[in-house]
Amino acid sequence: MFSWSDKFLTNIDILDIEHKNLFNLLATLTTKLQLRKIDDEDIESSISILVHYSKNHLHHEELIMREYHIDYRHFSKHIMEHSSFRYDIDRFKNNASSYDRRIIGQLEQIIRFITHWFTFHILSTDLVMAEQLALIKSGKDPREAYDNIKDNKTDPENFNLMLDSVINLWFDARDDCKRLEESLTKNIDNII
Amino acid sequence: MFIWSNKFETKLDLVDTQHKNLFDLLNKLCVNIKNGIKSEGELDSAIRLLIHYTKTHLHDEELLMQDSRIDNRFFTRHRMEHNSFLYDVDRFSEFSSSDDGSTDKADKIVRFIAFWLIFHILGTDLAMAEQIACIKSGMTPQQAFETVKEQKLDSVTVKMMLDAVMNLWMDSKNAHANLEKKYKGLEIKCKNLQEKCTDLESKIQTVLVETIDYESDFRPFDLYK
Repeated sequence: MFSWSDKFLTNIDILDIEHKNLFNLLATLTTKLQLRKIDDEDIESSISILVHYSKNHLHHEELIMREYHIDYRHFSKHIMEHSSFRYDIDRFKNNASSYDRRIIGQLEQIIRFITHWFTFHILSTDLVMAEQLALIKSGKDPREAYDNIKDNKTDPENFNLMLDSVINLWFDARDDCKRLEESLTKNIDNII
Repeated sequence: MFIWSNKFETKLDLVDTQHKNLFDLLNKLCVNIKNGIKSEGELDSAIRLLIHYTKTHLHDEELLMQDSRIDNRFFTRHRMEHNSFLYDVDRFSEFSSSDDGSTDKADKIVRFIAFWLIFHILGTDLAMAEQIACIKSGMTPQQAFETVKEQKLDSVTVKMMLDAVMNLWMDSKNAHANLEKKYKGLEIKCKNLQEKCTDLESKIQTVLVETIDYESDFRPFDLYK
């Protein structure tokens, strides 16, 4: 389903390790799910580990950006993306939005979401952040670093990967909508 | 505003004209929505015209593919995309009718159609056009399918698609959040309704009991006093 490659490297050790760990965790869980070697208790703890680990990682990233005083124009946009992730991931735990009341369905949904979201986010945002941090470390002013990167040249291959993940995110969001609409209609019918 | 560029050109006259007309319709609607020029009724009929025109266009494209005997693997996929779009468009009119204002509703549907079109033209229609061109130049439909399958999109095109799909994703997410709000509101209303029902039931019960008590006490004589 998904394979790690050097394209995702930010060259900031802690972030790369955490990204890799996250993707390894996702891969392990996917295999377990495919082989059905997982019970409800396992699933529940896996969900909280996944959510906890990914949120923690975003927090680390924010600390690093603060430490290097990255330009506010990048920082604010980056933080906004993180908040939107936190909002979305918390929604999965909400019953109204999960189509599958079985907990295994919730895990599958969360795995898909985290995989596609992180693929997109690392390639589109983290790499831009990493380039700026590298420039700041080499002595550039954060503002200059931002202006230098603005028209950065992303690898065309990366755009294809990004496009694939966003298409998947869109499809999943659309399916969520459909399911919610169906249960809304059903509820309204029940009342009438 | 949705700006036409030669990136969208399929070099098929009918298709290009219809695409351009759709862009024009979408942009005109955008301006009208922004400036609040049209009345609700006018806006509604403009939207209906837009949807009608889009449906006709998709149908024409399918006929064109059949005429050119395009490979069935491609045709099926292409038609599936059209059907999924038609399904979504119909849902828009069904589910955003009651609480949203008509401008808001129009804005949402214009955004959806525009971003979907951009995504679809670049990702699918261009591949269709290339296959049709290959077939015209003498290839078999299968050969044309295989040739085009191998080709990669240039990065400007991919970026444009990425932008459109990001908007589609965001809008879907917002729609979902709104639905969730409605869902929760409905749940609360249901609960209130149930409480009212049980309340009403108990009231009926007491009234019934009182009536029975009264009837047993009732003496016709009292009326004449």
